[in-house]
Amino acid sequence: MSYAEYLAAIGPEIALTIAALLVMSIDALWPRSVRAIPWIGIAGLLVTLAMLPMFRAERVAFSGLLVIDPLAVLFKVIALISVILVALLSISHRPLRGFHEGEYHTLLLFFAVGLMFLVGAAHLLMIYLALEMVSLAAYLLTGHLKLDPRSSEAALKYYLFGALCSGLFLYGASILFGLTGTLHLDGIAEAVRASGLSAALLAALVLMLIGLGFKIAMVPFHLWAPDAYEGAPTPITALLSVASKAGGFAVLLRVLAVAFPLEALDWQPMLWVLCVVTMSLGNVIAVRQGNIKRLLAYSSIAQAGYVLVGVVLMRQTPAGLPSAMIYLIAYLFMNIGAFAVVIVVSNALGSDKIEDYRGLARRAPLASASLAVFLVSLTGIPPLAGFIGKFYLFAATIDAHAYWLAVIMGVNSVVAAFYYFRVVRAMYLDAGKSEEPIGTARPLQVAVGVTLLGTFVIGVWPQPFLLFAAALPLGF
Amino acid sequence: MTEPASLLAWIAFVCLVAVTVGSAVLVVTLRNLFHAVLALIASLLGVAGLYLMLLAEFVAAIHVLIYVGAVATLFLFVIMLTVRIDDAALRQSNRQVIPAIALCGAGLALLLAALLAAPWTPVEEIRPPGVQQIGHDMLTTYLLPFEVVSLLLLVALVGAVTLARREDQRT
Repeated sequence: MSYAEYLAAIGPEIALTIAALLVMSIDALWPRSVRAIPWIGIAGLLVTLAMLPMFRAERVAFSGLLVIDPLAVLFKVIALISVILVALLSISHRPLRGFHEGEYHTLLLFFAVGLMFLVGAAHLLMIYLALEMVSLAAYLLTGHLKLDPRSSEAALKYYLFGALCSGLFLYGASILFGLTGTLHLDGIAEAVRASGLSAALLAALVLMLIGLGFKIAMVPFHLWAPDAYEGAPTPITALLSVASKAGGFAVLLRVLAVAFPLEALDWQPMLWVLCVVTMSLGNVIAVRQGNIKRLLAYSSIAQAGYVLVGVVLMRQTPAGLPSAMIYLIAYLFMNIGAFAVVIVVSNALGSDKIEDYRGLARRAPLASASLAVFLVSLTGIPPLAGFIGKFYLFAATIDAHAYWLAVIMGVNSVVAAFYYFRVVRAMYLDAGKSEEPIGTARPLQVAVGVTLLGTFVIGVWPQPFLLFAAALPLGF
Repeated sequence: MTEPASLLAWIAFVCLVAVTVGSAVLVVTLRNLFHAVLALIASLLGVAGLYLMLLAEFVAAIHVLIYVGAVATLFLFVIMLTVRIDDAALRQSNRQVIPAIALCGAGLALLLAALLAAPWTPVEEIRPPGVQQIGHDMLTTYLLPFEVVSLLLLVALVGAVTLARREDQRT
């Protein structure tokens, strides 16, 4: 491959890197232009998003270190849309106003660059580096409000837990390298097929699962999530719960589907247990939360459990992977939307307590209605995106004859409905202390509008998403 | 193990492991943090020795340069500049030390059992990679990771500056 072809393979990534460097330089050279900085970043993200279709050709680049396949492109779209929405949320989040916004948006863009490399990585070295880039930016963004002790505490916990987990991931990767003699995922698969199951292979898988489980906040590696989600600036909470998880899922899918062939090592029972524990524990603990960010943190742990259902079943039924992807896309819109309304409320009230949501419907009718839509969608009620996602996950379980999984998911959805509707009840049925109307800043209106649109469109007209997801090749 | 050369290598290996593990234990048990960092340096030097035994001279040199030279020095600076912890004797463990040791011990035993029985893929030819070879690989096969590392360092740099910058207390 010539250098020109190398450059062509990662055109969108290069464009986004240039945007990040541009934001950084503008912030350094013209400090007065601080109002324009987030918009430059968003423009860069939009350009990158528009470039993606041009670089969709299925190919392997950089001697097999990076693949550009439909799955990677889909994950890149998810990553870019969520980062754009998070950038919009950040503009109006009051505590972030005027507080090193240049550095904040630079880090946000580099987070997106790392994520784009992560979802296409097909080589353990590349996976590790991209994972570190994403994590490092995420730690820094979590602790960005350094004058707020909760933000610093969140970042510290996230960082310590993350450092441990990435160390374990590396250890697992090194064992895998010792067993197979290669770092390429497909090369690993060949060697694993030839040598068959061994205890060391199992150890490698478990160690790598810990590292990736940390990223998607899978139980029992979720312990950092509630504190980190609560303390982080709210837009970053949305980022961690959607973009960061999507990246973790991309690697998990690739590692499980490519590097660990089922005939050598049946990882399905282990993942089945993790999936069930993840959704159940997340939902049960969410019931008792009094802070909306903590509630959404536990809810997002449970949601990751639902996505895992599709991952567990991806080798048993062709519906597995598409259902996981559709759920992830639906989750992107409804979860970021919910956080957008949380920011609207916290800007006005300075509080994230659910008791302060009482009577909100009178003070902010549109915001309350939007939050109600997002929560109903997270519950999985038609005609919204969450319903379509759950519907296809259930269809996949039935298709794979995994009836127990379907039953457990059904029970979980009922438990989840309980705490989602508690928030809706507080907004609509309980009387509030004040009747003073709450305004919504323009960027937040845009973000809520886009996420609402996504939630409704996927719910009412899911065919294009289904067709695209169903065409995803599983062998990569 | 009969040849004198391999016997010598074995002895060197055991010594290096003893230094590495012994000082690692000291790192987590010593009460004076300053001494703990010194033990950490010894442990890291032991690891560098292991790299040398594996014919990875370049990695060994970089390891000494970065970990012993830069990281450990940084640790010492932090300890000396942090007011409260430079001389006090601190307990490094809490009440959960015994369950933690039991759990880690069990994990270690399982891992050892797995690793000792593992069907490793041996490397066919051992060629000590020279600096030239590494440089060549970095700009051809591993061009992308090389560039991504530079972005990673930039992220770390921007973050470190943002976090370390003095603020006028406004909140």
